[in-house]
Amino acid sequence: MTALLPSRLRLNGWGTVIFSSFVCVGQVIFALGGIVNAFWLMEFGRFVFGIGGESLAVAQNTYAVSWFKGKELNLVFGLQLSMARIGSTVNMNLMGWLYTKIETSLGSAGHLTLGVTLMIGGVTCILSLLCALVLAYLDRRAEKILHKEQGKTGEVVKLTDIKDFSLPLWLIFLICVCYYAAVFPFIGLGKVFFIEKFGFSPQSASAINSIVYVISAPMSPVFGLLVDKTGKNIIWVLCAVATTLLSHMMLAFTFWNPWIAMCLLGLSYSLLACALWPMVAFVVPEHQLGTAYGFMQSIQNLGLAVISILAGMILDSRGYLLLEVFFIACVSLSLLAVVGLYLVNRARGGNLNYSAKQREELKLSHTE
Amino acid sequence: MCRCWELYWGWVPCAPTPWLLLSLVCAAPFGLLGEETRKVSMEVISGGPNPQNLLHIWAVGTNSTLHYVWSTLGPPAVVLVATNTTQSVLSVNWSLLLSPDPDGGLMVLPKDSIQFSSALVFTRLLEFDSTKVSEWAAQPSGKPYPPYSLAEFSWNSSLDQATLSAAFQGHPVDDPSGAFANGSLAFKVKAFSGSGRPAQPPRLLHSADTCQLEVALVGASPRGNHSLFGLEVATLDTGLSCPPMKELRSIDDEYAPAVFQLDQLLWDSSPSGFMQWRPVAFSQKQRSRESALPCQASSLNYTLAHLLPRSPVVQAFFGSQKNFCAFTLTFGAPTGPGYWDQHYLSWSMLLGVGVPPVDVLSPLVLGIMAVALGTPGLLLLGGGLFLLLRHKPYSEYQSIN
Repeated sequence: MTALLPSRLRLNGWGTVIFSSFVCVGQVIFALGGIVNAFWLMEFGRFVFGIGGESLAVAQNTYAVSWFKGKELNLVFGLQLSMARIGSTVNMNLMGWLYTKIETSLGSAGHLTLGVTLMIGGVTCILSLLCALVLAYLDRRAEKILHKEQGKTGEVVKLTDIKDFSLPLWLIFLICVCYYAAVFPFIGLGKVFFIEKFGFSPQSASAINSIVYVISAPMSPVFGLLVDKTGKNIIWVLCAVATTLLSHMMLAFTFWNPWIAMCLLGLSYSLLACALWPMVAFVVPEHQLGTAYGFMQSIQNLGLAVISILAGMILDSRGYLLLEVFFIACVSLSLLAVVGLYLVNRARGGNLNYSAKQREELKLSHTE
Repeated sequence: MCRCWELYWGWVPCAPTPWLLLSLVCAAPFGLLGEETRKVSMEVISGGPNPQNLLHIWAVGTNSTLHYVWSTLGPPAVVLVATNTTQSVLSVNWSLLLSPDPDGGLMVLPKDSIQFSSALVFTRLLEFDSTKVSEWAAQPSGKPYPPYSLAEFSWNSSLDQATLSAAFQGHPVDDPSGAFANGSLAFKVKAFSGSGRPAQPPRLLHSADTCQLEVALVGASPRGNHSLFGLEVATLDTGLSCPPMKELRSIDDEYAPAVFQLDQLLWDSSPSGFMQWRPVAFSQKQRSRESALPCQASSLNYTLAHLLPRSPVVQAFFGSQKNFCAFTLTFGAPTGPGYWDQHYLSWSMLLGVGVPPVDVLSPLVLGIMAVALGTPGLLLLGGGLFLLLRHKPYSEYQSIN
């Protein structure tokens, strides 16, 4: 659905508006569930939010391609990621404080306080909806003025394209799933880890948890430019995955200041995003690009869902050390996939690891 | 070279040395002089006009014996004696023991075989009102309620020879408020003939030189809505100073999830007795991470004997004591899980002689790490070699068209 719907609805310019509305409505339902103390309602709210949220991401990407293709597209993707991460950071550092403020004013902790806090947080969703409306208006206006062919990601999008995906693409999917499975669930469960193992206060633990996003906000565009200038995507992905492995090993097996490990994690997370996602465009023909990105997004989320549940189970039964070892195993699988990708690419003479200069030459030789 | 068993973890400010990591791999729970198994026996010794009971556990090794004498005469107490012979025996003189001056009422013979002896007395059950923490800044747990003196409890005991365990269940003799009408404080003792680990958290690793004590408060009505409980424990002053309390930090929380610390009390003589516990208690019978309560231990302070409930058993073995070293354990925090959830509190500790058991990384962790780090490296090496060899025939040949 995330791959298919946006391509059709975006033609009306209303795709983003619809998905933004889903996000708003979902958040309101989620908050209401908290206020009336109905967990099933909260789950339903998250479900609605999820439908809108993911489709919104793909619609957003389509807009970006439409307006910036052939120009500063990498920078735009980097900035998109930055903005999302800034939002996550603000969320991590603000919501806890907001909750305690509401708690003192309402006089009690519990579901009502939670619901009110979430409702206030939902105001940002309305802001997102307003931006979507403005964007839809600007898009319609551009269409009328420029009479431009919208930069479609392809003529026809169909799910049967999946059977045509090449081995390097499946390896890229594997790298993506295994890598993000070792980052997001860890950040989700990390606060208590920093409190218990390293003796941090709850505020410091939240701060260190959010440092990954704080770092990726400015560094994503920088790394985007770096990868653009130097090429050699697979090598950068290898560096990112290896650095993440190092970071997890530091957190698991030493008492070294965790700020070091988390900063490394933030840097490698930004680098990976800039080097991995563009590789899909190198191995997939244009008419399959939408499906490929949508599929990558889908299995990444499926992997995260499954791994999050698994991580919680491991933590409750066997503690943080084994959880960290599990994440190390995930990153190691990702590393295995990167090494495999390098070897397959090398053996087949593929273009994934071309330097920027080689890519320029390739582009010039194609246009001659 | 495995000097692992004498290695202790302290705060680790810099890089872990290879020995530190190696010790995690090869340390084994060695006991006193490396005794792997002991023959453990238990008996209840009764005596006196109103029959009083002593629980005597003795663990016989190849050339040493450990005696644990548990009693609820007065406050619950244990006398711990290590001898260097397999023939040592406990001698109890009930008429002396029950008299006002019990010196000499309890002896381990032959006296010159005694290598180490000490005692632990559980003197008071403490209760704090955690809602008044800020007003009572001196006590971080909150404003204290009047404590329950464990010398004024009456105890029922039960013994299970098959599992080498015994339990003492007590409630106050005088209970005007009826707090213990449906509840009790229980001391459960378990002895071991070899090393192992219980199935329930905190899964303390025991050896043949240790026995385990579990303190459980069940069903007693607290005096406030958010009461925190605590236990006062006293031990003998060794003459020079109070034994040091060590907090050992470790990377390994496999057996007690989210607890990275192990607390130890070491009586300093050699061979040394020790008391070991994880600073965690549980507020539900089904012990899990959700019901884990933090456990704070205060430092040991000199306390004059007359300020503590008198223990006849300790006086009988050691003579009249002027000084004890006492510390308090407090269970729980003002917010989060607590005794108020299910009126249940459980805390475990190990008591033994020799070298305290040390947790090591499990084979699962080591196996996963070996595969996780080894496989990508091998693949890179193998694949690289393969590509190198494959490219050789295709040298500088360039086709013309």
